[in-house]
Amino acid sequence: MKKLYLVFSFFLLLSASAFGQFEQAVAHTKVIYIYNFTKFIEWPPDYHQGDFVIGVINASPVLLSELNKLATQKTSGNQKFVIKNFKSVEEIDKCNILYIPEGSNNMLTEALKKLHGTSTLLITESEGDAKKGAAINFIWKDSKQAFELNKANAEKNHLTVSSSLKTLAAVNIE
Amino acid sequence: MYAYAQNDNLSNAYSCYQRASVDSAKMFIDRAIKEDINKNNAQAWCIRGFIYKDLYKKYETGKIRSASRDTAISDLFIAYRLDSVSQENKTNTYAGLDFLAATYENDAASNMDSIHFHEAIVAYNKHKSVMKRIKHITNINTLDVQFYDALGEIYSLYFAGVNDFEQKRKYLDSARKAYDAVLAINPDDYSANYGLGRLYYNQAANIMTNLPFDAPLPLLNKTQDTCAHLAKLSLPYLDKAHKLEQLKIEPVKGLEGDYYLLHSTDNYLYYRNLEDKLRQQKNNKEDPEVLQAKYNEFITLGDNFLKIKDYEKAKDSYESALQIRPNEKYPKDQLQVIESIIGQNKK
Repeated sequence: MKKLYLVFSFFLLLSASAFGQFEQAVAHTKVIYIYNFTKFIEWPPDYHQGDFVIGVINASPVLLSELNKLATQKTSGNQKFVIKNFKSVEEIDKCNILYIPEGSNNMLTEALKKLHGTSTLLITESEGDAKKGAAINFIWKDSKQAFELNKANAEKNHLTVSSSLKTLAAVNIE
Repeated sequence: MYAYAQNDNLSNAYSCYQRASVDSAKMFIDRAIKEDINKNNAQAWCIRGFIYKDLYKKYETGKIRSASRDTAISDLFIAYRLDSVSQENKTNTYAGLDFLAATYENDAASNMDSIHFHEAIVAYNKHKSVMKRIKHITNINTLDVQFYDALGEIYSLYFAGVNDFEQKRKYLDSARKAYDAVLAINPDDYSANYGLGRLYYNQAANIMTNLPFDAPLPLLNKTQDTCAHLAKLSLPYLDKAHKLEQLKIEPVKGLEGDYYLLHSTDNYLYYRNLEDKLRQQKNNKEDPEVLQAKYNEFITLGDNFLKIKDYEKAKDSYESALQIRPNEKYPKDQLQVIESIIGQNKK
């Protein structure tokens, strides 16, 4: 009787390798944070007109994809989310949120100049950025994505931060 | 096989069997076996076993729940038990049982796919049961490893394919049990280590990517805790799989993902570079600029790991740098420093 041991092995060759989701998982986490921020922060009336613009400087394809998913699934009140991916500081125009990912951190100073006098919520993700002008800075704490909040930086831009957000922040920069 | 039979029904059955008239043989043997004279007659049970074996071959080959095959096995076991005299008869009976056990094994193997695997489990358990009873179990562990590795793989595919949380949990548990069964036999089995590591990793990535955008932040926090826990569970299995098969890219990719999820940047970069290196080895391509960048990154990693006294990874990193630039002095010096520290620590 011929035995078919090979068949057991054959299916092992079919093993589905699925190790590609880690960047998506982390990007998704950030976008959940960003969406939550829109609920805890109040923009001045002129930022309630038109679309709710989330700008990113040099977003990775994975992050951009997650932000675009958000835009198709959710709104901020009556405002539609519009995602803008800026290649440089010069390209930045009016947005409710500007997110500077870690890889574009060298543009922070220029971006702060560009945003002066606007009511854009500035989100960054590099150590010390909440002290340099960002209202929210993504950090990692205990193997988790968390955020630092600098309420004063937000208020400088006429944004009203809910006290609840303060309790949810891992670090509050006074 | 028996040279003759002792009464009409039995001799008729045997005669039909020899002429391959298996249906007629069945009719006679079923009558014969009910006769008092044959109730404890090893020959009668043996002939019936072989007739039902042929009935199975004629009508039910490939059918997992074959009544003929079950009857054949049962009859041959009775014959084996009753026959205390003839070694030749025992050898024949044994050969019949061995054949039927092998048919279960074949059925298990040919049903080991994502649709029929429940049948494969039934067949495999029957195969094992027969093999254990005829005490011919020398290779059962090897076969168990193959079988449960394949089963774990199928449950993993189901786990990845369903969206329902409860279903996912069910398949995760089943896959884990299958791989655990393999590791209980052989803790160094690559497929089971890799499979379990991938399973935990996938669960971590899945629960995070499936969290809705409007999940409240406390829930996000809790989910991240679970995700980190699962990534940590995944690590030792993928690490073992990597050590067992150092040239395979998949475990390295998994370790890269685990460390990314845990935001362990140096470890993430270490495995990302290793993945690149393995891919490059595979593709046998060498871009000088890319190599220089890799060299620099391995040096930085080596320095970082040395700082935190992870000498094994520091050594690996400098050695990887040296593989790219074999004549560079710095990584050689650093390796000497590490060797000296390791030597002192041993004292």
